Amino acid sequence: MSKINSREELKTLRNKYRDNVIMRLVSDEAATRTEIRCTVGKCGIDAGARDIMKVIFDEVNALRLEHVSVLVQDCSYGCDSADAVKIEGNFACGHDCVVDVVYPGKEPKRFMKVDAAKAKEIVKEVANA
Amino acid sequence: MHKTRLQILICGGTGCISSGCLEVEDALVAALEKHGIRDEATILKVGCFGFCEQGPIVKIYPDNTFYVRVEAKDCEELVTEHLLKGKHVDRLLFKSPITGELCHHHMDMAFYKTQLRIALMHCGMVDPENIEDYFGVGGYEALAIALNDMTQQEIIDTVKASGLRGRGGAGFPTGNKWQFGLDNKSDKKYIICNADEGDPGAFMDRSIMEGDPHAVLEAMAIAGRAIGADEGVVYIRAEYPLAVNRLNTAIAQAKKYGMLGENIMGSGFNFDVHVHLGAGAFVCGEETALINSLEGQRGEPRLRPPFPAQKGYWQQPTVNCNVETYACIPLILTKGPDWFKQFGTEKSPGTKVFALAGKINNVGLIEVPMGTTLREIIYEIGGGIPNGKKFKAIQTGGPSGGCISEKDLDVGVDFDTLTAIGSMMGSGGMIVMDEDDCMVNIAKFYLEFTVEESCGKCTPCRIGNTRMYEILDRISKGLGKPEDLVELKELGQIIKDSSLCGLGNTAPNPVLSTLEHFMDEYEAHVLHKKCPAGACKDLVEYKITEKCIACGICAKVCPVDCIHPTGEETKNGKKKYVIDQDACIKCGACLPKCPPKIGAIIVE
Repeated sequence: MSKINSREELKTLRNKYRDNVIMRLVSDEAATRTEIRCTVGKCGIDAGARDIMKVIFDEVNALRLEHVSVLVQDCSYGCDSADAVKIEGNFACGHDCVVDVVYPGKEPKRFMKVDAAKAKEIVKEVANA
Repeated sequence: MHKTRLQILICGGTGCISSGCLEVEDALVAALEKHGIRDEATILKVGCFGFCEQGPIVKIYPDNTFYVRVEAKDCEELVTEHLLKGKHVDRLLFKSPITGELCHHHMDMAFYKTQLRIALMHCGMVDPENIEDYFGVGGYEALAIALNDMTQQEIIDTVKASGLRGRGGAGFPTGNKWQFGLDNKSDKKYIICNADEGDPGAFMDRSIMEGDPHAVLEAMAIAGRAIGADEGVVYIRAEYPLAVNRLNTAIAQAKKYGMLGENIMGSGFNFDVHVHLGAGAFVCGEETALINSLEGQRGEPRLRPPFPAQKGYWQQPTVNCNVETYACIPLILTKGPDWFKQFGTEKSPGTKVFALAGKINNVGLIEVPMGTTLREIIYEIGGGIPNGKKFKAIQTGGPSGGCISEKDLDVGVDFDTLTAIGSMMGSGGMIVMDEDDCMVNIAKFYLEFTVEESCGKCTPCRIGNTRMYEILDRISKGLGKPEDLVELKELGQIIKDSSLCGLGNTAPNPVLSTLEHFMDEYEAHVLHKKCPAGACKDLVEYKITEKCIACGICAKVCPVDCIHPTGEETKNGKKKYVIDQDACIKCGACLPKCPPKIGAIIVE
């Protein structure tokens, strides 16, 4: 790394490394943070929810949505319980790849059967909200 | 934007390292690798979070969850439950001792709610070993402002306008100090950072250097620019190896990026910093003794005037400020003096970091606005006294501060109010005492420390404090005379008035303040030869009452075998136990062994 020779160069560096700390800076401001929660119960994992989560995370990064956090959550339909049953190869809950979007102070908004294309749309919707 | 979806912060301060955070880090890495998600998380070792009582602390972003007392064996569960499923691990969350509620975020805790972090703003937030993190939070912008937008006088005027006072203890206005540094003309001037931090129990300076070293370096460069100095020295005790390491790392990185060195940011301003290790003498926190020590001489204070700003290090104009003072400077320049002044009291603006210790539930490092009352600090942030005991006193200002009693707890803490009630700010140590502490014994303990640390240069401090110690020792052994109390007061005042430096000027404070607030305890020792708290060994007797059921448990733990069944008979024909007072060494080992429902052993 070469030396910083002017104030402008410092500014460039600061903008570059803001990415290191931005998650820590905004996480303390719960009031302005939107959460995108990917359901990663057994149903979701089976349906590739972790890949969908990566698509969402990459898209959030690409659009530089600083106030958006990508989180995981359990299946709320009970497929994670020990006695969860599979019907025709699918978990009984049947809701593979569920994504919730929680805007600050609001109730979660739920998206079902999310695939990569739908995941990107969700992020766009969050970006425009 | 984000490099990874998760960021995991582990407290890497000295306190958490000693409670095992390095093992936690290893275990966490292993668990992440085991579950194939190592690439999803960044692990950072950061500076002190402050809640040392509950360490090691692990904080997980982006959902900002605060886990306490995490051990290596907990990491597997953290990964499988929290990181893989998004479920909080309840047993590792902090549970409020008052409401019983689980605290998921640090702001849910009473300990953090009323705190305000300025000096510690980035401590526990940035990676102290990576200058890039510091750039990311706007680091070195204040230096850019100082170099590009302000004249030397304007920098000093800004610091003056902020009302910032020296955080090392004396509370001297920092802007005025810098003004003297600028006004005294010379080809060579120096900036010194006093990181000696000699008060036992105080660790705010250490935590700042461990957690946010670049803030200190940036502020030293700003001070250098303000007075026209091109060299800075951090005087730090060798007992702080982690802080020394991180400072050296920070200096090397700052030089690499041209934040220190020649022609900083193309401005033509040169400034270099090096670290000087001190051997850990209390008196070297006094600035002239510190300068002597830096020059390779004995750590003895010099006569003032000339003041260091006139003739300091190598007889050149020198500005010497404390670590915490420097840590406030960058924000004063970037956010403005009015921003700083909105916090705190009129005469002591801003915040103060305190190291909370002693008989208190939440031991740790806190930063509160000046003017916060002692009651808030002890009962809200500190969580009160453990084991339902009664508060007796709080000692502020380190070994040479005074003890403050219950009646002054509603005083808002600042430089002037603490002095007014017979104590002082000092560097910000706060030690809480409960009903089991004997104030005569406490005063003796602190005086023993200052007697030991006195450099011996001036007579009042060297001999006067020793005489005071001898009197206290006599009183605590039950050999005190009523006139001793008068002599203690007189002697204390003389030492305060006639000593050469701050050490001697303040050393009698613990004695004088306890004489003022706890005269009844001194009288009990002198007149009745009793120690009400049961702490002075020579004045207490352990006795077994008639409640004894002759179980003999106490006799088994007695290290000198002085408890024997020689008393009268119990109902079931056994003989009650008796303590042989001549042989008893008053260790107290028997006391907790007597079953609580029996409670036959008493202390008199």
